[in-house]
Order: sequence, then structure tokens, then C-alpha cells
Amino acid sequence: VTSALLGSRRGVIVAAVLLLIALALPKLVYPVLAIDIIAYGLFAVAFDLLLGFTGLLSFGHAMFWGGAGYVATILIAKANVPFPLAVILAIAYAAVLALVVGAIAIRRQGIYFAMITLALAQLQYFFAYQLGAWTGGENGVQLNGRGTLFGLALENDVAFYYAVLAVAALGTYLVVRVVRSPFGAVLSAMRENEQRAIALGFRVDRYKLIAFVMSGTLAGVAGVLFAIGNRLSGLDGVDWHTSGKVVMMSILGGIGTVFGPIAGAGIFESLDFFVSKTAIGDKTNIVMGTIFALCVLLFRRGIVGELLAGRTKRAKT
Amino acid sequence: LQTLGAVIFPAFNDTLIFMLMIIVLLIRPSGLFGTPETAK
Repeated sequence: VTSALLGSRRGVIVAAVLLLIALALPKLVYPVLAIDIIAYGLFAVAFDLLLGFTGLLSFGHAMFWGGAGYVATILIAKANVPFPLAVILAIAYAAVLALVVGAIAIRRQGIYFAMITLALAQLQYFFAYQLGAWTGGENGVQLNGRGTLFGLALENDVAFYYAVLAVAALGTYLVVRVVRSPFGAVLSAMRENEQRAIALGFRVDRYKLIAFVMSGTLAGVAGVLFAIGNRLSGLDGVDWHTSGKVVMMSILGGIGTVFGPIAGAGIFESLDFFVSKTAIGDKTNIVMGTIFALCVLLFRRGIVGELLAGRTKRAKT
Repeated sequence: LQTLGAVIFPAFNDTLIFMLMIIVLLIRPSGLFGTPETAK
């Protein structure tokens, strides 16, 4: 599915349509919501690198997203570290955390892998909750401003949105390159049949760890963008609900399709926002859960996955 | 474990159960009294 999508004309069209929507997004919705959509889109792409292309279901990816957000905001707001350095250190934190967590979690597979990542993420959540002097506890850490990057003031929401979009586009491009590389082919081989990949001489644990670190680091980048975009990092970011949310976004859009999770994140965040503004706004979770269940039942490959499956079926007949 | 944790490490009581969970998943993924999948 992936190679067909990425290599096909339809794949280029999907990417072009998504790019056009992304460019016009701040005119269509509230700019901070647009920032959230793009940040979550990158988060879902990072997650999909692990679930869709490596076959590893992490249920604790919020630890990289929220953890990096915390580090960036704490360094800027409490330690007065310059903005670019704080961002680099936050991403480095996500990378090191992913290396440590990955080294522990890849010893197990399937549900056990998911449960270890969940447990480690919850550890970080409770540490964040207890270390209130640094993390602000339930109040989180607030930023007074977004600072500057290469002399460009990021205080304006629309200007910051386009900076976020550029980073997200670069991150997605990197994932596409990784997926289409020989390294990506090994990841797919592991996902399809791990025993066969071992028999062929591939050191699957090493490949899994590299994929996990790449995914965690990219999730950290997305988390930093989200935290700075909202000028806030809080417990919500490291909570298991956020880990579940990115799973839902990826499945909704279509796992293993690169662009599917971006579409899933856009649909999920937009629905979440608009439902919360209606009369049933206090029941947003019920509505979102129902929509998700219906989508899984009706479009098992996700929205982009189903579009591609339709194309493949027509090509065969 | 939670009761002991509340006495010994009250601030980090909630983390103890997750630490135990990680250790069990790494050493005996089928659980303390579960049968390993290969033995079924």
C-alpha cells in the first residue's frame, strides 16, 4: 500500500491537496488551531513510522511529545535559555528518552511492547505531576512569548504557523525518504515477517531501536512546536490520553500511508474543536469515540488507505 | 504495594505500580502466575 501510494500519481495528488489545504489553513480556521493540526499531523506521521512501517504499537508516545514540550518551555521560561538552544535541547531530550525507552521496550513484542511503553510514559507523567516546582504541576508551564528564530519574530500566530508548516513538511519528507530507502524496506520486512528477516541475517532489534529513536525524536519535534505554539506545556501532553489520540489519528487516516495520519490528525482536531463549540460540547469524547468506531468499522484501512485500496482494486480488474 | 508506597515514598507512590509492571513485563511477560505462550 505504502509503496503504491508514495510512488503513484495519486500519492502526489494526495500530497499536493494536503499541501494546498495546509497553506490555506490559517485563513480557514483559527490560526492556533491550525498550528495544533499541523503539530499533531507531524506527531501522527512520527507515530506511523513505528506502527505503520515497523509494526510496533507504542502506547506511550505522548512521553516524547509532552516531554520535549516540557523541556523546551521549562528551559525558556524558568532557566532563561535562548529560544533556539532550548528547542535543540528539548529535541535531544526526546531522542535520548526514545533511546532509553526503546532499548527497554523492544525486548518484548505485541501487547507487551505496548504495555511497557505505556508504563514508562505513565512514570514520566507522575514525575511531571510531582515535580511541580519545575513543571508547574496541574497548571503547567506558561511562556510569555515565542521568541525569535533566525531573526524572524514568531509572536504572530500566522507567521508561526508557516514556520511550523515548514518544519512539519521537512519531517514528513524525511519519513518518506526513510520509508523508501533500503532501511525502510527492512522495516517493512520485519513488520511482515520478523522471523524471516532474522533468518535473512538482519539484526532486527537494532533496526527496531533506530526506528523507535527516529519516531520518538520526530514526536519530540512536534511536541515542541505544539508547546511553543500554545505557549504552554502541561500534564495533558504527557497523559496516556494523548498517546491514545495519536493512535486514533493514525488509524483514522490510514496507517502505513504517510499522508493518511496527517489527514487523520486534521479531521480529528477539526472535529474535536467544532464539536466542542456545539450544544453537545461537553460530550465531545463520546462523539469522537462514536465517529472513530464508525470509521474503523466502515473504513478499516483508514480514509487514505481506502482511497488507495479502491485504486488498486480498479487497477486489478 | 500502594499502601507501602504511601508510607515509604508518598510523593512517588503512583509510580511504584508502573515500575513493578515494567519489571514483570520484562521478566515474566505472561504475568506472575501466567503460563508462557511457548508452553501452551
